[in-house]
Amino acid sequence: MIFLDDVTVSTGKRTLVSNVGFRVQGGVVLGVYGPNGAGKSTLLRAVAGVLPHPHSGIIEIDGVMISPRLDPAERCRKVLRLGSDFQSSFGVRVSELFELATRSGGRGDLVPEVLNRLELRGFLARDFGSLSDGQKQWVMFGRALIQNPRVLVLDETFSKLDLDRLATAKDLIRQRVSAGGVVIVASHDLNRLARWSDRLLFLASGRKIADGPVDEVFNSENLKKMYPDSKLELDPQAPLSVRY
Amino acid sequence: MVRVYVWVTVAWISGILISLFYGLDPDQARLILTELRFPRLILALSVGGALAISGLVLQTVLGNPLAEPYTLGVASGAALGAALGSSWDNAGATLSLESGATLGAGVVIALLIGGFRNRARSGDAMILAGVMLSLLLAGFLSLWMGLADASGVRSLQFWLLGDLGRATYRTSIPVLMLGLASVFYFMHASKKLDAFLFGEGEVEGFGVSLEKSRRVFILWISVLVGFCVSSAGMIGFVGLAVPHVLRRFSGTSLHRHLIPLCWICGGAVLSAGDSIARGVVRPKELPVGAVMVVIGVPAFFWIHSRMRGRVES
Repeated sequence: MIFLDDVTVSTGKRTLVSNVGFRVQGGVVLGVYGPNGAGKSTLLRAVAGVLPHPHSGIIEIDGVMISPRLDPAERCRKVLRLGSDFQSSFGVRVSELFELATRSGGRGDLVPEVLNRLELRGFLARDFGSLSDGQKQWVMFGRALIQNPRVLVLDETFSKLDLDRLATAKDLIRQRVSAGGVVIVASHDLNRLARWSDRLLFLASGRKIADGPVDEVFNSENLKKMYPDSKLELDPQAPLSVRY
Repeated sequence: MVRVYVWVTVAWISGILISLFYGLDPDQARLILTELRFPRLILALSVGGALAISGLVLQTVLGNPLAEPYTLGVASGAALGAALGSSWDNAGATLSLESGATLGAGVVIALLIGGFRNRARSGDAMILAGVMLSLLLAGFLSLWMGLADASGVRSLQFWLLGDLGRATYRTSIPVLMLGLASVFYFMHASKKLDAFLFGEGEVEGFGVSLEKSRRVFILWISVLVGFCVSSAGMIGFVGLAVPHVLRRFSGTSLHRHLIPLCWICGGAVLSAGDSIARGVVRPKELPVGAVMVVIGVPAFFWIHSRMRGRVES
């Protein structure tokens, strides 16, 4: 469903992502992890076709090449990326955001279900700019569900969510992938990422360190490759956890 | 929302009636109306509406509530062009103040096109470049003022503060047509404008090309502002304040409502301001741009403080 081959992104002076390739089938949650500056966000922007710099290599979703030349509306139906910081200076209501999502190729029939599952009805008349950071992330997650892309990319989108919402988010992500979609999640909480994902992709200094099913790649060898000088180690008391 | 449209339309009609009939001499009513007040009214409605739309669109696509029609330097280019044009005009050459202004605005628009062609730029970077360009052109204008004769400077200063007194059907109809075309164009593109409401980073996520649509919108607005400044000088306040007041008054930031509301309300505000400018110290006429600011800014604070936002915070 998603196919990347030899993807390299460089700004001219610096190479941000080097020769990364992977393949993900439908029905999978892919977790992306790496130290700060490893190139996660750059790679995920490239996958979503919203990178300001050109990339080399191939990025395909359902056989369609993702590139800046692809029609933006068509691209949004294939893949949508959410970041973590959202803002609005102009007093936009949450209901207006959902209306915009529906007009942007989204499914209006999903709105009632999203409002119920995410318990967002009380937010509809609120000014988006006045919400807390966590509430903004939650509302934007709802917007992404309404837009209903084939591939949903969540780049640290849940960094400020409370535990109850995290649990709901996990259920909704599972629901999407069980319907055949793909969700890519990048997070700095490796322990949570390991529990949420079917596969993990590890990056360091713009290069792929490992890629595969969680129980195959979540090991001290790969941890050492990402953090050669660190004392981080796997927690012997808890499976799929790093002790720090 | 119907209530908002009704109020703004009432303001528009009031602006028209005040502008046409305030202080009208009954003996020469027909002549004054057809030859002077109609073209002047059309220009006031068109320029006010166009400036309000320009401010709204630039605030949205640059992601900055402080953006206004003159932010990107088009007006400064027009002002310098007008100064040079009026010098040549005095010297008996064919270039007039208005055509100089059009030419100056055109040069800045060409510079903007060149600047956009090669690289993606953030809204903040564009604003900084526009402010620097405006400063540079204002510097040249000051140098010209230091060298020009006093009467030329006075005439230019009056124009710089906004002057609807030069209105003719020939100057006002093109601004009206372009303004109406802009209303239809931006209403048609309202979804693309709405996509800018959540910051540059989210525009593409709504299926809108950030660079392409911003480039087209800014160039369209630059041409519109160029027409406004060439025909009526530099009228401030409308472009900055009207969009803010209407966002608050209407309780929406969606552009399919704000575009027509801004056009109507901007025209109403400028035509009312122009009536005051030419009515209060007759037979003298005050510069409309200065009147707009002196009355408008306190009114803006009063309205803003009294009008509770319709959006829950």
